[in-house]
Amino acid sequence: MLNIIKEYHDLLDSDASLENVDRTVALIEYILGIQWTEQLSLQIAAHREGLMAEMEEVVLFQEQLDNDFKQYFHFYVMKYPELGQVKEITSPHAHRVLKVFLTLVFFPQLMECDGFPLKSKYSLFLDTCLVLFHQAYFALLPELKTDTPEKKVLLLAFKAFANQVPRETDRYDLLGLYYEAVEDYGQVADCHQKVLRLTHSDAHEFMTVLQTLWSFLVEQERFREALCVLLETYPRVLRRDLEEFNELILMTFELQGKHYQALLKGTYQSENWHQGLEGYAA
Amino acid sequence: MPRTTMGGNDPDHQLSDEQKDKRERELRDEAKQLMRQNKSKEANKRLRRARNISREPSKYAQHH
Repeated sequence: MLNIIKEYHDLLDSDASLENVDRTVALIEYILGIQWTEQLSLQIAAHREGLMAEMEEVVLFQEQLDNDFKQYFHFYVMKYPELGQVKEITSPHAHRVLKVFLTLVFFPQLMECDGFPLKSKYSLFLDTCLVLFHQAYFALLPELKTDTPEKKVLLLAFKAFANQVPRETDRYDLLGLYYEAVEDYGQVADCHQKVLRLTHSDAHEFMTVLQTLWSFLVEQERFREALCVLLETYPRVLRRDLEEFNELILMTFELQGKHYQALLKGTYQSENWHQGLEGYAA
Repeated sequence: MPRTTMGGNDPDHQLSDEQKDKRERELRDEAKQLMRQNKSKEANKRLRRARNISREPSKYAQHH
């Protein structure tokens, strides 16, 4: 029998890959005791006998599950015609994209159905969906060609899932990734700023959230803004994090210096550089 | 007192605070090294993974 927690921890700290996308979908199916058939209809998983007593209730839920799924799928196809197009494509990526879409968009709504018996698994389920989001974002999305129905459906899945996660920090964090994929960088910065504002400085992830925003601004060659964010955040930084915080300040100057040197040597081209000082203005 | 799992806040799948802090710090350091090598995309992946590891587990949202 699959050790659910071990598998979750393995995937949580794994490099993104297509294999891990499939493993994460399989883990979510396992947690819920249901699985997709080859034709992408839902069925109760064969392993249910070995799991907890609630699984018997899932079996009783089967009829409602099928009906709900058909209704939802019909609704999604009406709303997103690309979904119907992807269902007609037989490539492995199209099949994978559909599974990710249905897992991220349909399952969270399924969990909220009044009669669904596995609500005690909600936390693990949703956290595993977050792992799936990241695996699919970093491994599956780059494999898809621009303007294909598969890519559109996967992006729809990311946006729809992000908008239904209950915690605001998670929502803006995921939306930031979505907007980065569609190259709306103004929205990306806004999402990162919101996550930083909403994250308490005592939280484990505070320095990671700060470094994520800083890293995005540096990548965008917005060094002045990156430094301003650090200076504005300084009063919130805990004493234990000061050394790491100082390193980010020094790195801003270091990376800015390298950036200008590369431009002067002509080994790097930048749109900002061609716009003169205005290109680097916040 | 045993920790409750009411409302779907099942703590069993969380890493310990020490594990979170250690791994998160390692990934942030890796991300900084990658930024120095001009590999910001890879750095972003490390930071995203660090955030996933360290975030509080999800809770079931009660709708009224």
